[in-house]
Amino acid sequence: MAFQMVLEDAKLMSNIVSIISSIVAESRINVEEDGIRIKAFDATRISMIDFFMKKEAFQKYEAKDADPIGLSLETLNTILKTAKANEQLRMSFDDTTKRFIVEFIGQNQQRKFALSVIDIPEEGNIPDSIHIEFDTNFEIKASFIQQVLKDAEMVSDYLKIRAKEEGIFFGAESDTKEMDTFIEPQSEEMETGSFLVSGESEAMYSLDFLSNFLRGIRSSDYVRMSFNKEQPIRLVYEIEDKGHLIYFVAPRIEESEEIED
Amino acid sequence: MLPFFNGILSTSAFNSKKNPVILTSMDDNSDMNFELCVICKTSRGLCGRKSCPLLQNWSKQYSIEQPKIQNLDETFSPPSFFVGWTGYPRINAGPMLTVNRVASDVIDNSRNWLEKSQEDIVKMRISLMRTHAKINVKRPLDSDIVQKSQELLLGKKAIDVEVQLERKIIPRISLDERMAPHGPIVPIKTMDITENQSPINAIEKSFYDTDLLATDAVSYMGKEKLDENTITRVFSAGMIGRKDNRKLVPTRWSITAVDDILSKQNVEKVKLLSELGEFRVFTYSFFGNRFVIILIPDVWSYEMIETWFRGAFMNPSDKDIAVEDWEGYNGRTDYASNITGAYYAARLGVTEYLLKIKRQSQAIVLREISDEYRFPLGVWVIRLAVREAMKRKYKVFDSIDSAFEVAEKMFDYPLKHWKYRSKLYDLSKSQTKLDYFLQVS
Repeated sequence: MAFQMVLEDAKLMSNIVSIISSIVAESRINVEEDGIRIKAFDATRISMIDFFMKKEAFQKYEAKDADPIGLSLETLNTILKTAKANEQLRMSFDDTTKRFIVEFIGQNQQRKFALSVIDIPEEGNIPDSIHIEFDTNFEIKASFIQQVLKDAEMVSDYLKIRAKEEGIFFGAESDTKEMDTFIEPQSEEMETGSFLVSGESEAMYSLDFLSNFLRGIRSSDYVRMSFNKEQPIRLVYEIEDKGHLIYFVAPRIEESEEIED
Repeated sequence: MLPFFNGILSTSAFNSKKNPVILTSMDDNSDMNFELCVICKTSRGLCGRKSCPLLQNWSKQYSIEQPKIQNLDETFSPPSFFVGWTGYPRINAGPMLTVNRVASDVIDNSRNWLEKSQEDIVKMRISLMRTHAKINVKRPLDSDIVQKSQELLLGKKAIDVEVQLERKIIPRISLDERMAPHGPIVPIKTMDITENQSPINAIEKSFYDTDLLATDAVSYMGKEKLDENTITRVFSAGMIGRKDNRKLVPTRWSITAVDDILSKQNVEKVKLLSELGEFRVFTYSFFGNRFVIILIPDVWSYEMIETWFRGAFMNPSDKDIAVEDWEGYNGRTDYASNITGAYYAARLGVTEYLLKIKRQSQAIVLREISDEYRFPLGVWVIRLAVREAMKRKYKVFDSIDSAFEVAEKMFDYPLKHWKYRSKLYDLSKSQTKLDYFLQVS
C-alpha cells in the first residue's frame, strides 16, 4: 500500500536526514499510521538513532498498512540538500514503479526525484528503547555543546563528561594537550529547570559519534543529555512539537592499565 | 579531483594526535631535524630544502655496475612511461626504453618479482632508461611524444622504437620510496614507432571511451584482471577519464591513486560480507620488512603502523620512529599523510584477501623496517608482501591480546609500543558497543 506525506518546510526534513545519514548510510523507514519512524544502529553498533515525526506535523499524511521501505539515506540526503527555503516537501511511494518519490513544491513550480528502494533485511535486536535510570540529566544549547566538541576535537578523540551538583565539566586530554569547559546550571545556555544531577558521574564518549549527531542540530535549539557512569549517553532533540531525534552512544571504558617504559 | 592530491600538495603536517614515538633520545646537534624524514618520505619538503638529500644519497651510495650505453641505436619500449612530479604542472615525462626486447610483464610488473633479490631488481630496473620532455600536464596531447607513448601503452608487448636523444646517456640509478628504481634519465627529441603494438582489449576500451570516469576505468581494468602496474601506466599517461579531464598524472601519485581506487572499491564489497568469527594473524618478511597482519572480528576498519629503526633508509635520525594512520568503517576523508603510499598498497592486499574468504573484519597491518631493507625499491614491496603474507598459513586466536603476542615474537620493537600506537587495539579494548547494555538491562 502506498503512502504520501506533505511537509510545509522541506528544509526541516533536509536537516533531519542530514543528521541521520551521517550515522547510518542506509536504513529502513517505517511509515506508520501515527507517523514516520527510523530506528537503526550504526554499522559498528556503538550508537543507535531513533527518529519519529508524528502525523500532525504534516499538512497531509496518508499511510495505511504501508510496508517499511529501505532507502539509501546518503542519496536521500543529497536530494534533500537541494531544498529551498519556501519549498514544501512531498514524499510518497509509487506502487507501480516501486519507487520512492521526493517532490519539492514551490510557488508555481515543482521538482521531482524518484529513488529506487533497496532491500534491507529487518535488523534484529533493535530495542523499543534503551531503558536506563539516568543519574544526570540536563538540557543545553546546541551552540554551546557544538563549541565544546570543536574544542575537544583539537585535543583528543574522546569527550569526558563529569556531572556534579554545581555543574557539568567537559574535558579532553591526550599526551600533550588538555581542554576543560565548565558550565553551571544557572548559565543562560542551560535550561536551569531541567538540570537534575544526583551524586557525581563521569563517563567518556567518542567525539566522532557525538559530533555526527550534534553538529547538525540548529545552534539555537536545545538538546537534552542524560548519562551515567560507564553507561550509554542519551541525547534527545525535540523537533519543535513535531517529533524527536534520540541518539544513544555506548561509552568508552578504560581499564586502568598503564604503559610503562 | 581525487582527495589525496590535495593531501600531497598541502603542507598540513602531522594530523595524528600522537606524536611519533621516540624510543631513545640523544642530543641533536645537527641543524636539520632528520626525524621529519619518516613523515615526509622524500616528498613534502618538510626540511625546507629544495631537493631531498635522502633521494640524492641513496642513488649515490648504491654501488652497482652500470650499463655502458651512451646512445640508443636500437631500442625498445617495454612499454613503460614515466611522469615526474617536480615543477608540477609543467613536468618531465616520456617513455622508458631498454636496449633489449623485454616485455613490461618482466621489467615493469612487480607481481613477478617475488623470487628476485633486492640487487636483482635494481640491476634489472637500471637497464630501463627514462626519457623526458617538458610537458604541461593539462595539455598532454600537444606533445608528439605523449601521443606516441599512448599508442605503445595500449598493450604490454615490447615495441621497437627509434628515438633521437638530446644528449649522451650518463649512467645513473634512481631510487624512490614510492616507485620502482630506474636507470639513467635523458631528454628526448623525437620518437618513431616502427612496429605495431597489440592492444589489450580492456585498455583500448577505456582509452576510447571518453565518457568513462577515470575511477570507473580503473575499476573496469581491475575487473578485467589487469595488474596494477599496467593500470598505473595508463592512468599516469592521461589515457583514461572524461575527454576534457585527461591529463598526465605524476607516476608516484598514480601508483597511490590506483591502489586507493581499487582498494576503496574492494572495501565497499567487503562491507556487505558477514563478519569473521575469529582473530587471525599472518606474518611475513620481505627484504627486511617484517609484517604482522591482525584480523579482528568486527565490521570493516583498517590501520597501518610502521616502525622505522634508526639507520633504516628513511630514518637518518638517531631515534626509532613509529607512525600510523587508520580509518573507521566510513573510511577516511583525508590522505593518509603519515604512512602515505604504503597505507593504500597494504589496504589493497588486505581487501583482496577479505574478498577471497568472503568475510569482513578489522585489519591491522604492522610493519617493521630493519636495516636489511637497504634502499627503497618502491611501494610495490608492501603490496606484494601483504599479498604473500595472506597467502600463507595463519594462526587463530580468541582475543586481541593473544593475537598481538605474535608481534612480540616477530618484532624487535616492543609489544607495548605497538599496542600503544594502535587505534584499533585501543578501540577494541575500551570502546563498548550498545549490545552489551541491551543484554544487561
